[in-house]
Amino acid sequence: MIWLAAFLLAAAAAEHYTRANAYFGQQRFTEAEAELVAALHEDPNLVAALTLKGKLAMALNRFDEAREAFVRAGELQPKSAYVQFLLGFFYYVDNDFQKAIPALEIARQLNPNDSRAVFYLALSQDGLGAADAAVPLYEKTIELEKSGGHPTPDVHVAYARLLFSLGRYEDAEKQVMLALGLDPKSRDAHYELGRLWFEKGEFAKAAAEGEIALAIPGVGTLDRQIHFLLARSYAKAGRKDLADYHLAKFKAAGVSLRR
Amino acid sequence: MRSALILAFFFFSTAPKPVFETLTVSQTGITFVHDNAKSERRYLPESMGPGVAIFDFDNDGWMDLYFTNSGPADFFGPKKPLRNALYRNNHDGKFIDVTEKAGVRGRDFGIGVTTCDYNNDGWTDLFLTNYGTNVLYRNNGDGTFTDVTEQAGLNRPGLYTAAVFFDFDNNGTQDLFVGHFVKWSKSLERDCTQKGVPHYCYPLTYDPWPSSLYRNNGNGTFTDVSDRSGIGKQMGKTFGAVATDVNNDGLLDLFVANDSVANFLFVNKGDGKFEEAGLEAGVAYNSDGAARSGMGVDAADYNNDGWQDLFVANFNREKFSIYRNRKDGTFADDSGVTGIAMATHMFSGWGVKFFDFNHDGYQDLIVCNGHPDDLIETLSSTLTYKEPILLFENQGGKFVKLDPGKAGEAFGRNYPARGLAVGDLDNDGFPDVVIANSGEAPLVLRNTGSAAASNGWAGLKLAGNPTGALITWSAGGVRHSRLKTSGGSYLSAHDPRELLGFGPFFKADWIEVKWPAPISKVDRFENVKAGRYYALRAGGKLQ
Repeated sequence: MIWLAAFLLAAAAAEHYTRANAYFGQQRFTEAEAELVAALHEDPNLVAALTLKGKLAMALNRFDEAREAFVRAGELQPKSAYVQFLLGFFYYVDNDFQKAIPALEIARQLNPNDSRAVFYLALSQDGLGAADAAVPLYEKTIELEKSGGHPTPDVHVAYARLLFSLGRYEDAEKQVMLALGLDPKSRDAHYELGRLWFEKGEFAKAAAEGEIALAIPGVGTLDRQIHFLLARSYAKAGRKDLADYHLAKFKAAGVSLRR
Repeated sequence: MRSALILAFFFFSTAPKPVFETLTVSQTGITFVHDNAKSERRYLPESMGPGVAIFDFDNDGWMDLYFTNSGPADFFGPKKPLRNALYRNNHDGKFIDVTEKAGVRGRDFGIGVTTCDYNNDGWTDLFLTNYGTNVLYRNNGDGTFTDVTEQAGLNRPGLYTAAVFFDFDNNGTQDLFVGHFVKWSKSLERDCTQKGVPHYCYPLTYDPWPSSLYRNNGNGTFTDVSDRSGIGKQMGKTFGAVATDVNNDGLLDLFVANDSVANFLFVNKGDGKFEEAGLEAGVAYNSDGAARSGMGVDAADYNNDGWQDLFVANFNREKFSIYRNRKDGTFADDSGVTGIAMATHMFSGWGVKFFDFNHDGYQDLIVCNGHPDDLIETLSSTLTYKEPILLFENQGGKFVKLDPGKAGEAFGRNYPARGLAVGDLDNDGFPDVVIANSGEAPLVLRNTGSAAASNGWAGLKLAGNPTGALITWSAGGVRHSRLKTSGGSYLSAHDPRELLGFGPFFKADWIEVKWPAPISKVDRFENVKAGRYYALRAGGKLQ
């Protein structure tokens, strides 16, 4: 009898979770949340519901709630690569790189072929300024993505930004070119290439790449960043009219603070 | 045989001394402890100070020390009287507190300090930046000072930070830049409560405010030329400032580090006006066009190419900036290639100074750090309130961070550091460091000379402390140059003497001093012996 009750509760929880997941996919967050509350009421230890709750809370910018959900899920399923990845990913997004690293390391150990875990490990080490640790992790991510048949430009761009920070401009350029080989319409990659040309003193080429980046829609690199690159590049290239135009656009875009 | 080896190990294989050793209170006699006025509410000025000055107030040839402290303000009523502290160098490693006798307790809420002989009477004066009204203490030449702020025309209230004396109009008197932080009073304080607890607010939340420039009238008074010069027209959030000549035109320019808004590069046009050229010069923002949190600042020719480069200590995760002068009015941020970017990535930097700690002739670097929010550890597992001091050795244009084993045990500890001043406290020719900590006792680091044991040096004390003087020298055929800048670091003032490193040579082939206008003379000396300080007046001999 007790077994049957438990089964029914679990089944009910799973049903609520399934509906919550569907709502989440449709970005109907209010409905998703209601279903999740019901699911976790039936089964507070339903890991899938906890991880979904964490993802939903992140989407709603409720990071304390997300942390609680992911930590609980991690405690319930310490051997789940996916759960540990989500926990590490959460800490990374929350800028808590120190806590992200152990969770991502576990995820990587549990699933050595998961390029995402390695990528976020690289980003976390990068975020901590540990370039020596980050560089081989970026390399490993690229290797895993390649062997998995799904190379992405984002890894190359992120790696290029680190190499740029290290002053390794030639290596950074190689990564940017690889990114552009994977996606010739990568706004981020064109922007990074523009920054590299600027550093090399090739201002006309920097401006050309900036213009390409600006024409490509995207959310990673901001228009403000590109206008800044263009303003500097045109100024150096002797095109005061265009420099002034982009400077005005840059200033109009408002305050940006890197923190 | 084996026991002989063990004996040899213990008795003869001593590790080389680190560059710096930490001096204790019993060694220095410095009992001053900063009170940062920390409150439950976390008012902004609490997180800003203190500063420290190394200067010779009694002209005995030994560097004395001055520390700023907080004090009464609209947001703070001290439970016991607070004051700044002046310590006279006793020539035996100890310092004696002479604050009361000298009459330099300070007033209002003390933040920073700078020094200068503003009235050209041969005695170094003190200028204090406050939340409240700044203070100009004129040195009477008898061990006492007189507060002449009001008669000098420098009594405008505000929340002040950096102060830099420099002769912008080359008339032989030192003018004064006074950096202002944000528009602030108790009633304007923001609520930055997180998780139910008030934290210090990020400067982004406050409104900017202009800084001031005062022209020295040469009669003990100053005229506010902020608007006329253009400096007062720029709304900033100034923390650090340094006067230097970025374009080698003989006119001192001003580089100003702002927090959360663009840095300013005020280029001196020579007609009493400055042009703000930070954006065009590439020093206003990072390469993504984002303003950083500029705090400490310095200028020096770190790559020995004869042009002044710039440094800014920023907030954690912003990376510090080292701007190489491209010699065309623009700068390249070389923080990546020099190694500075990644080495400073996690720190919030304040006091900073290019200096040649090992006398190899190349400018090394020291930066002290500390997160402004004392509760940061409740919000982050990555950041700490107290942070390490970083010592970098300039190795052919790359800055290599020295580990505590080489740098000294203090470099393995964390501090809530703010002000930093460099100077030779014991006149042994090796630059020492004093760091002013927020809410704690200062840290005094003695340069043991171990890193410079095989290198020659000479010290130069230029009469009148002329900012903008260019010192060039050659040792072993290697040419070096040093521009006498003014200001820099954070809220602090350095030993005004210049220590010139000769590398592995114990005489300079020659030393040349190009005095700034209106003197505009060049003094040159051949075969200068190493290992001592020299005093020099324009047109005179090395004494």
